Amino acid sequence: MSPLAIPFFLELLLGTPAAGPPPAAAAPTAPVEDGVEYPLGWMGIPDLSAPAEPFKLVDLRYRVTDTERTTHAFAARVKVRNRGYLGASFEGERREISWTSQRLELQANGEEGVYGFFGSYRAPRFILSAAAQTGGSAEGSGWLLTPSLSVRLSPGLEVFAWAQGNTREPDDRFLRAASLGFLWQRGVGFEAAGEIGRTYQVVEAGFENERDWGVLSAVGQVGGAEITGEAWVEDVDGRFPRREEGGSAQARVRLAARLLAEGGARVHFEDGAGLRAHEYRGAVTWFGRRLTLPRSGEAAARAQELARRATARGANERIAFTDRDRRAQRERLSLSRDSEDFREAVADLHRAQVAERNVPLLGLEFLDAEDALPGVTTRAARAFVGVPWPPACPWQANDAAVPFLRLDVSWLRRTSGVDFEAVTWASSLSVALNREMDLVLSWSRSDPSALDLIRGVGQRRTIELAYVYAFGR
Amino acid sequence: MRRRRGSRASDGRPPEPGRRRFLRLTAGVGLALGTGCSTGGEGRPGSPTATGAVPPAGSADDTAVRVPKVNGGINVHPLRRLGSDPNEQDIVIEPELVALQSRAVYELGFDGLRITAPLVDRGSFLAAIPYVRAARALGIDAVVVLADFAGLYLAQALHERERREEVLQLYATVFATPPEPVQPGVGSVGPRAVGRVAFEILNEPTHFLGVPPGVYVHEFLAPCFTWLKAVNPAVIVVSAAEVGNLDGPARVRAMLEAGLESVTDRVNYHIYSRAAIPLLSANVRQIVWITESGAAGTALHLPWVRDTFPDILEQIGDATRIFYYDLYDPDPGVYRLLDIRADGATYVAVAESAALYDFLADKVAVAAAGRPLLAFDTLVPDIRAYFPTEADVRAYDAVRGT
Repeated sequence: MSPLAIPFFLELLLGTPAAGPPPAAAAPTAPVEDGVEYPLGWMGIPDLSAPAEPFKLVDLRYRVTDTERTTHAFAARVKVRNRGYLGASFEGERREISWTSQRLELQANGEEGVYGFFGSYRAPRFILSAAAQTGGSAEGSGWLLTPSLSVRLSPGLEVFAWAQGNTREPDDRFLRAASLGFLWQRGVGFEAAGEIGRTYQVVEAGFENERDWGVLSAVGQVGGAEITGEAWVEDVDGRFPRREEGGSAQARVRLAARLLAEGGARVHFEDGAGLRAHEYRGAVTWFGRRLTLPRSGEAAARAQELARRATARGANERIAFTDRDRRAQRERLSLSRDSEDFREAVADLHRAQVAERNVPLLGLEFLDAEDALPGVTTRAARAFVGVPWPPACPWQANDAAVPFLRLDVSWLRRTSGVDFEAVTWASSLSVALNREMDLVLSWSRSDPSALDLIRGVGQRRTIELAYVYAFGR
Repeated sequence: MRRRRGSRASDGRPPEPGRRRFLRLTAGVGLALGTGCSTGGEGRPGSPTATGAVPPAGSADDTAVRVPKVNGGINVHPLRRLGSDPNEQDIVIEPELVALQSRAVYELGFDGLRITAPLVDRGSFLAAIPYVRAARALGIDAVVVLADFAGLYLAQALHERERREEVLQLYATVFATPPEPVQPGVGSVGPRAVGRVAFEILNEPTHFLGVPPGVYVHEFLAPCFTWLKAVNPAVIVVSAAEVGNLDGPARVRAMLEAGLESVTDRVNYHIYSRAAIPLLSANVRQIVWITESGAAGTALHLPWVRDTFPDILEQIGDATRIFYYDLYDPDPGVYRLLDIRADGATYVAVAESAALYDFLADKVAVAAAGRPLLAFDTLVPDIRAYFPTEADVRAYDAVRGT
């Protein structure tokens, strides 16, 4: 089915005009201010609080993947008047429907006899959630239940707890896991999170491991650098007790107005055995205009302002730093009874986000990793070249530029066993038609690993074509 | 990381002129063997006589007894000739070489022999046969490792159901059929009172083949165990170990958590690092064999066996047997106990790791308590009695192809 046929199909089903602009002609709706020029034309800042009449298409994704077989994935989401967002998707055998309003989130999915349900209610001071899953080899006719509660103690501090129970009561124990944690957003420049928990895990051999674990992470903006760190520890008690520790550190440093360097390391130790796994990576990226890190700049400041203001009005929102989280937050606040009060702040954040868009033009990344448990060593290199809109040479800076074309090429070599090497080559060509619409064509060829050869699996070639439309992105 | 072990003996020398091809020899053919073992040949460390039944060690009279089995197990490579073979179709197995290694195993008081029978390598597969049969006939247990020295051929065959049954049937027919004992009352608990046979399913599968621990248990060991126990319950199934350095214990633990103990008769460890010993759990609910353990460097051999072996047995309570690595391999000064060289028309063995050799021999002498010991050549007058038969070759060729 052509993705363009979906709005028309919806129109046919619902007897109303398909909501929103057809993707091929996704003209900006009610630009807030002067927009930015994209290959498909100018786009301003849409008003998400405008009600749908009664539906408006806000998400449309279609992907076809061809390997040994062809798999189609489709997802669509519509805004229903001013009440919420209704979504449906399928990918292969998986089906999912969802409903999202400002305070309520519901979801149901199923795949080959395994069914999952999720519900969440966002109150002014807490978020109460519950997930349930049944079917499949793990749960059989029983249910795996996962309730969670997050309580906001202050605008920047949340504490949360979750637990998991299994009605089949493996090892005569309903409770399978529980944890307690916190998230502290001290403005945009620093964020810390921590969590401790216990998990009762029945291994395939049939005995139980009691795993006590804790993790502490922090991310901060220090001058022109973003520093991220994480440390964790796990103590396993059971027939084969052990203690494992690990951590990661990453730095993103703006070396010049248009040059970003990134480096990171991830390690995993086991007491007595030393380093069990590691991953080291480094990357440099050249941009077509001045780059902005997520926790610096005007958008970050406005994100904090919006979150604090929304929380003060009972919306219970965190500071959002990614485009995806900010879009979800915009959608929720647009459904709020106080949406009119948030309208300007929402638009200001969106405008700042668009103004600070990053336009990567050239990039190079290297990765070295090893995991002693499966005995796999990985080396990888990735490179990309981007063409901005309007087209310009990489050395020319243009503050009006937006991402347009991007060609990625990657090489990855996994070595397992004694010198059995499996190389994967992959490339993709992405076309950003405007801020809301992308086309991606990907290709990859993977050599079989030693285990693949043993199992009779040969070389794999994958071709993938994807179309994405995301209103208000 | 240790270098890949188990490569065939090959020093680049051409085969000795005048040596005959012996593959077609069958049991009962008499041929005097050269006594080329420089370690003393028959009679050492005692002075055995060559007559009469074999009373167990510990008898109070002066009757010759078999060599006491007091030194655990030993890894032996399926050595069949020194130098390359220009005619792989007409396999050469030098009786002197087989006798030389088998004699050392017997005279040094080992109770088990571990040998690889690689399916992909016709010569080594067939050469493993006399080592296994002679050892079992002497009352020595034989662990046959189902593994190739290189490549994925055997692993692929064991993974695919139809080929798996065909391959396991070949191993069961060729190696699990008990030989006649060298003499009655040889003192073993195996069928016909000969040494038992054990099949080890692959060798260090993660390290050599890139097979993750859980996959090994579910897709290789479990189906092989089920088939072998159904066809021949007397066969001991030994799980593969993982590397003997600090990478190994986590992999073995992952196997155990994947259900290893329920699909094996022996849990298997390799230990080449003292630091790995405390990481290998004593909580295994199965008998543990350490089928490889040794130290790189000849000077370290004796301290390793004298001091580390007791530590292993003490710290891993379920461990009942350790196989020293190894009797002979082509790399001097690393792991091997003996060097084997051509000497005119025959071969000689030299105790390269002399201190360890003497240590092992002394333990045998102490256990013998001055009683005369039956010589290897008395018990095995012709090693060719254990050589592969035409039926063995046909069975192999039917599975592997020529």
